[in-house]
Amino acid sequence: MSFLREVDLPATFGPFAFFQKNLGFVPNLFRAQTLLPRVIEAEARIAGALLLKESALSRTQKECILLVVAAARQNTYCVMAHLRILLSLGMEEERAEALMSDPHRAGLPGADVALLDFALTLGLRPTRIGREDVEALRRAGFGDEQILEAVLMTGLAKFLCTLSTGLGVVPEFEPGRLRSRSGAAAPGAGPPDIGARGAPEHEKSGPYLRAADPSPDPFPPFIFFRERFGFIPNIFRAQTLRPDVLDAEAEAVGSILLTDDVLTRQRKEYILLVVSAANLNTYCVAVHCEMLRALGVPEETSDQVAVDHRHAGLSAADTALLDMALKLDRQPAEFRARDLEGLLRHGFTEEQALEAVVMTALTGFLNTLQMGLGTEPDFAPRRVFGAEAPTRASTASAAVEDADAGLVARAREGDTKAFEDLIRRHQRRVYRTLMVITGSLEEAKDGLFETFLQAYRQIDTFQGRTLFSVWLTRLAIGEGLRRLGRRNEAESLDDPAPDEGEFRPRQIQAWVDDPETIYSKAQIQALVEGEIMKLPARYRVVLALRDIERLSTEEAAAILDLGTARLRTRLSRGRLMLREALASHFSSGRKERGA
Amino acid sequence: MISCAEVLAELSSLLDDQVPAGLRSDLEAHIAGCRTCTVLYDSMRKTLTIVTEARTFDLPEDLSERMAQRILARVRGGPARPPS
Repeated sequence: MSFLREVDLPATFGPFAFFQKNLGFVPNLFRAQTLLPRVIEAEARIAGALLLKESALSRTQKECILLVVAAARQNTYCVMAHLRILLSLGMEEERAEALMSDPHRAGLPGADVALLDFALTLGLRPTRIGREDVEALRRAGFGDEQILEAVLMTGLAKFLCTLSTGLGVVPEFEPGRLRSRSGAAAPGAGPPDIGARGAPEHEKSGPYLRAADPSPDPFPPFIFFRERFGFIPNIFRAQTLRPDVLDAEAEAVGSILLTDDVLTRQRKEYILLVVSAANLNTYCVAVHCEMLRALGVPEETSDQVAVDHRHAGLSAADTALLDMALKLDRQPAEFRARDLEGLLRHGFTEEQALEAVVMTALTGFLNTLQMGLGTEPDFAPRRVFGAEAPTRASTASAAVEDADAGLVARAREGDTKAFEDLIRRHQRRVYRTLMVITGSLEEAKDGLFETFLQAYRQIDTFQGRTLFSVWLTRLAIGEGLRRLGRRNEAESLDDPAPDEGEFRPRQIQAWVDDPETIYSKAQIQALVEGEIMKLPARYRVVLALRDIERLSTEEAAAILDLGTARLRTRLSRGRLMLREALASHFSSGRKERGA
Repeated sequence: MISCAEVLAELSSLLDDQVPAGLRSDLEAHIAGCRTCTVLYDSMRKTLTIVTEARTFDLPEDLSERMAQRILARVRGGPARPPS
């Protein structure tokens, strides 16, 4: 059973009949989405246009791409499905299994091996794709239409993998059929030479493929995009070699992104934005910042959301939504039912959770497409993701790429412009951490300065074992704690407070449902800041680490050198005290005030 | 039977989902039937929401610009970093 509820659809439901006819079965992947039939319809059209008709690549070539990318991403569901389809197309079992471990050793013609190498690079390390990868395919004898299809199939593979992970789809058949291969269990499975490649030179100037000029007759997908977006995104212009695919994509965009009845358009654009930023996709980030601007979201906000949605002033529900999308896209191997259930606890319906998963998958599809096609941004990007630093051996099966890696690499070489970008990305978070820990504006300002200086001086020691942002946050916390310790505080962080007995709440009147009925956002902000600052340091610090920086209990306890039990006790008390202080403002006994 | 004092002690962990399933259902059952604990649970949940939602301690634009320039001036003009 997949993570979300399934509902019965009428026997005449088009897509199911379509799959039954073309695949011989209705994949569980689509059954898992019956809460939103329009999504299945859009996907069926894409599958139809991409996969199930005669086109420039053979059906077998296409299924091979889907299989090897799924295997490299260790997605059991997709591997089983594509394996089954390949066998039904006549491939021998041994060859299909060899394909999954190493396409170089499956006895395929050289051209097909080149095709699969391309798909694996694009599917696993998209930021490394450059013009020369496309040239390699041309040298292997592939034409532009075939190359376009290869890019589309890789995008589709990513889409199907993300979808099946997010929905927790169970394979239709026993996985036991396969002999276990040591290669599949090892992290980072794939052609051995991918890790050894350096970053491509980024002489990006325009898309890699020639795009046929659309006929002068009105081209429906372009009319659609112009009407709904006000312009035709380059990513679609680049696919005019396959107008039928453009048609299907336009419909998918229309029914998944441009609807407002389940998730709002704005929320879906946020998903597109943060996942694209995490994938270092300059093009997509620029487009979706622009879309958000058209929806009324200021540029600074979308910028901050892209860099760090946790510190962009978003609601808890929106933050949870984006946490889910990022985890699904970046750490699929760790995605579990509770990650989706977390959304339900924040008040999302199952339909919304489903749409969020589909949106995340669609983002992966579009990101992959854009990287493979090499299209230029439609708008001047506010943020350009540079060439990434060479990756160290990854211990995670789907390596989490650090969005700061490129800048860090350049800063290490003394590129102060790159360091400036790092400052701008992270100074808000560092400042906030220091303010809450030190409880003093002056200390926070000086601490901000010192933290970044320290970061610059020690950047050589940053190994990349954690994200740069995490490393920097720890520097900030250390700086804050040192400053706190230095001041003549009557209390120390270590000793228990003299009255560390039971805290008895006195304010037990119910709160209003929505504080914004009594106060403006700015007033609420000032109130909360004021009350946090009044808390004794020992509680303020724990609140800072757990509730503002969102570190785990274990991490926070390690940083403060406390046992986890004591940390929990302090956190509990700090939260109760803050609640108490805010209660006098937010309890429903208060008279209404003008905002 | 769970007492109000026990609920109070576990409230924070309950909101973090760090309570074992059996205890969780006991706590939720008590809260459902106790007005005071309902208010405490609800208002603590709202407190956490407000803390994460309000743009607290937002770095003012002019300050952020000045800070960035100050840091860069030191980084650029200061003594060369020791070679690694």
